[in-house]
Amino acid sequence: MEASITLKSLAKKYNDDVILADLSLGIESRSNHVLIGQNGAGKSTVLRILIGLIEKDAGFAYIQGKDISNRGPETRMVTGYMPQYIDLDNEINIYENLFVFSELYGVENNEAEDKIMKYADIFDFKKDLLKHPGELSKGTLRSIQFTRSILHDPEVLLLDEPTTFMDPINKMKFWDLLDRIGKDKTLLFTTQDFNEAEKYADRISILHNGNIRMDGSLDKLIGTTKGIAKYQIRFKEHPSNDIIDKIKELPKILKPIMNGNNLDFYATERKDFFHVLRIAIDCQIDDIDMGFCSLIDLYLGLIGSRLE
Amino acid sequence: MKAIIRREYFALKHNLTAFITTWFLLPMMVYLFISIPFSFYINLENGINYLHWSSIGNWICTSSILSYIISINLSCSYISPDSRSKSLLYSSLSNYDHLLAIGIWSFLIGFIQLFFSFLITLILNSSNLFFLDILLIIIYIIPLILLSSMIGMLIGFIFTNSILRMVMGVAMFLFLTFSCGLFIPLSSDGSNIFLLSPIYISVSNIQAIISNDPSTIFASLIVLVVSIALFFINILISQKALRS
Repeated sequence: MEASITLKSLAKKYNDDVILADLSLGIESRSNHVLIGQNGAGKSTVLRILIGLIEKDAGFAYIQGKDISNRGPETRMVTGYMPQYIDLDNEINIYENLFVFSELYGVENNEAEDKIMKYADIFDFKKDLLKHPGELSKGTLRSIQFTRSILHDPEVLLLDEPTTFMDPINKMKFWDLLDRIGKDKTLLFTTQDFNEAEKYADRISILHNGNIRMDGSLDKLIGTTKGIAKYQIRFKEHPSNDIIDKIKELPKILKPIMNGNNLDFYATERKDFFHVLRIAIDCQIDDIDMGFCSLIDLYLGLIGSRLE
Repeated sequence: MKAIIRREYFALKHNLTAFITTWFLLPMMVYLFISIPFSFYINLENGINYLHWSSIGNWICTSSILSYIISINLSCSYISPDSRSKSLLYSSLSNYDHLLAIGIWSFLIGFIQLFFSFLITLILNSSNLFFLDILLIIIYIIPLILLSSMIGMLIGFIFTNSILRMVMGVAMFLFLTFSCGLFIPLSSDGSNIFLLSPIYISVSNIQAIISNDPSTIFASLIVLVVSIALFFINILISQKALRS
């Protein structure tokens, strides 16, 4: 499938901090692609470069095959962007905010009005159209910002943590709507919500220290854990340090950590878990839990917090 | 670009009271705090009434200052990351379109101020001007309003610190009030470098119209050319200022 967004050796520095370093990525046309990473990993920077809010220091970026550096107005015309923060114009009301944006993209007045009404109905902000952004909740403003980004029916959508501040109902409406209107669109979004990433993205890129540390479909990413399972033993009382030390000495037990009265660890084979259980058997055990690695485990492992 | 002008129109509608108050108050304040006090000390050589003569200063000063303020305000609204106009940069408009919209809107507001200043000073001084004189004065003042708008844009893009921007606003006001011959006739001493400024020459030509002396549009044309040059300089620096 052809690439809708292509990044080649992209680099960006703020003062002396490297935000993006030699980042290359291709995003397929009509796919949902998510960027996940820590705060400051460079997720928003990628989107801001693509929409032309900031300039890259090096490398190339293309949207629909057009270089954003010298064909910025053309690439922005086919792109809808929703930033992480609320940036609606507080000097004018919601209807005017949306109307001005439609006009910026050359949407006909009648069509703009119809679309504003349609989305106001879906996200339930029809009664707020004549209010100023300062009078509304952040959740409602996020829905309005999303509406603003799709009014001109863009082929590419860049959404920076789009569901932040949204209530569960609006989150559901948001993903429902994206499901319906987004089939022929390329979606690149960032999120801190791993459930959303797992559920709605066709492809996931984990960004760390300005570069892609891992990239692929959820199945492919989880497949790299090669069957590592995550175990948790919940004790009634905190076990003695001797027991914890013995468990830590087991060679095939990965990253054993005590969280309160819970012992978390990873292991590839079930018999390794039984070794732990044998050591801990003298302590009073409340519960035992086991599951395969999820995206968050993989992510935490990758960024070196828990699992290497 | 039409969309940005419409955005400003919407904002004006919501702030109409503030704008109308400004349009009325600005020329009245200049009249009250500059023209009247100076009228006690300044006697013009050609015998023209000082209050009548300083009306031109009032027109130029108020329209230019307002145009400058609007321009600096609009250009600044693009700079900070979460500011209201930053979102306009997502659109397909080029920096040229954005700057043109800032220039047109700030000029328009300054131009409306010019009409209010005309109205107020003519009423306060009970003076009459021929329609052709008014037309000529407007044609001469237009480049000065444009220049103020372009300077405002430049200051807005260069000075990101709000205190520095205010200081530059005061500097602009002081320059217009005291160094262009708007309210105090400049000495014709050859060492006065302000006499060489196209702004001063342009102002002198406008003053010549009400004293029925011959005037030339040449200096106003130079001011117009400088304004256009400043517009292109603004475009050059806008890439760094708006999208860095």
